[in-house]
Amino acid sequence: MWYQGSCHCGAVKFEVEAPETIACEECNCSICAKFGYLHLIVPASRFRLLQGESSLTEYTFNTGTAKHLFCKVCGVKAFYVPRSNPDGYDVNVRCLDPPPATLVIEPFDGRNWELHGDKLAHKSKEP
Amino acid sequence: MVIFGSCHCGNIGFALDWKSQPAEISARACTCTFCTKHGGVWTSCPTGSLAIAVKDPSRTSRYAFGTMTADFHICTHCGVVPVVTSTIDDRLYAVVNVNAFENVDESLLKRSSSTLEGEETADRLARRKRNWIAEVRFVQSLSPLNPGIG
Repeated sequence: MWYQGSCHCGAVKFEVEAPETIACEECNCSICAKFGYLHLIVPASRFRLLQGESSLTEYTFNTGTAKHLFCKVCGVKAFYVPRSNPDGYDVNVRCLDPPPATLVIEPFDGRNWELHGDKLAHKSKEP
Repeated sequence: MVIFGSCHCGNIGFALDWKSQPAEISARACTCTFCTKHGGVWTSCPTGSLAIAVKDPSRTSRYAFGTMTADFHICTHCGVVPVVTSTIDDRLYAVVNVNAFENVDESLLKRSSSTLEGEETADRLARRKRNWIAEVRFVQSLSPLNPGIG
């Protein structure tokens, strides 16, 4: 099914295709912890930015691979391009309107990225 | 205990002096529309004191909505919101984001969710006066308080 999503002020709107029950990762790395980010990583074909490209700003650090995008107005990080899957999108389940009926949250040890990063690589591949 | 916290890039930092050693620190995941999307988890110590330091004010913004009585301090460089302030009767009150903490062990946190929807504005402000940090000041630098910061 296609979920609608947005930042808080409404400048950024997107849609993403995902199952009714969403399994997501909660990562403990330095940046994800600050947002309590809940990761839904999808192939590029399952994500559409509907509006607000000009309202997004980009933050990078460390390897610079991940493009951390957030709304200039309200600061909400609704989606970004993740280091694990630079060919896909990583949607913040917190920003889905309405939230999924069932949400399964798995911890992800991103603090030890070198040990675990490749476990997510399949998520952006087209089936 | 002095709790240090910051956004990811370090532009907005804070030092919360709890004035004593807390047995536990309440960590309230607010269910409002903003905090749900921002992952905001807040705490405060009404008898503590808070110092906030901003390195580059041009890379910050304040966001308000709803009753427009609280300012969410956003780092516009990295997007993180470490602090919320509210001015009530000419006094600045604040809560800090537990997710921005740098030196607190998870075992000290008592996590809960907090739903304040429907609260009248007067009740909201009265609750903040009771529960939020009542001694809040902006400082040039936190380094005098935290020798670990260069």
